[in-house]
Amino acid sequence: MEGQPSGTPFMVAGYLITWAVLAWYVWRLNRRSADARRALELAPATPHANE
Amino acid sequence: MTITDLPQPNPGRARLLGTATLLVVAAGSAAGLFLVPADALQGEVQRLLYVHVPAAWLAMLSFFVVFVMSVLYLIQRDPKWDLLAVSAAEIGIVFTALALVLGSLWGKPTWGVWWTWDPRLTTTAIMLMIYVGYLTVRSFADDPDKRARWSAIIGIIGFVDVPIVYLSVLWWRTLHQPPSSPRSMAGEFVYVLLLNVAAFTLLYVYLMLRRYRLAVAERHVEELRLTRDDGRIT
Repeated sequence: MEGQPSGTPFMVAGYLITWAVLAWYVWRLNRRSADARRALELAPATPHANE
Repeated sequence: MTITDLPQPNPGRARLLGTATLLVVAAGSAAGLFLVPADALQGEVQRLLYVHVPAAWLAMLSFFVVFVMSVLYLIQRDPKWDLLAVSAAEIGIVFTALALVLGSLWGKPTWGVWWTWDPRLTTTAIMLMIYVGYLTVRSFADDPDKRARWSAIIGIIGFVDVPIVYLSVLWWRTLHQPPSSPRSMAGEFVYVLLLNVAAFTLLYVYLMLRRYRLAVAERHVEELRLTRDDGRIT
């Protein structure tokens, strides 16, 4: 369109951002999962309730 | 039912699903970038449709899942519904933000602006804030039951905005185009769009499985801390 910037850089940026965001989110899930697993391994056994 | 009784996704199946998802999403992106020609009017920037529309679709799907899980939690008080709801809310926020950013990148070369207070954009931004609020409210409650109840109420009320977002382009005069459909798009574009919608939906299933498994683990850690830190509580 006349007077408007070329769309190609915006399109490329959009796909790069999409893949980066999705990769980041999966990485975050992996990281938090590892933290939770470590916390569970380190936690002492739950004391039993008095009957 | 305790946290350790909650059903958990099989890690092996999740990995297999992850690999399949990666391949399908990559195929969808490749089709959008290389298989179809550029749009005759919009040029190359039109290719953003193949990621923007799926992101927006998943955002609305996620918040619908939050709504359903919230209702189920209030009825049954089963913690798994709350954990599924928070999983869907978090994923929904990621896809809403992505949809807004991608829309902005499309809008600048097309409309000449990064943002406008158009009904579709405005209601989508409100939807994002509602669900960020949902997660924020959860951080205020230490008691898991109270947390689940508060956020379930927000998850139900907040869903009111979702159909408004979808119907905004039909109800009001708006810059944003109407929903994409086979009637509004040429054949090859439709197939690539549908491929990407399917790919992103598969991605959504994968992310939900992973996020739910994480939610169960984190809830288990919290429960252990609660029983350890206050020995009077069991």
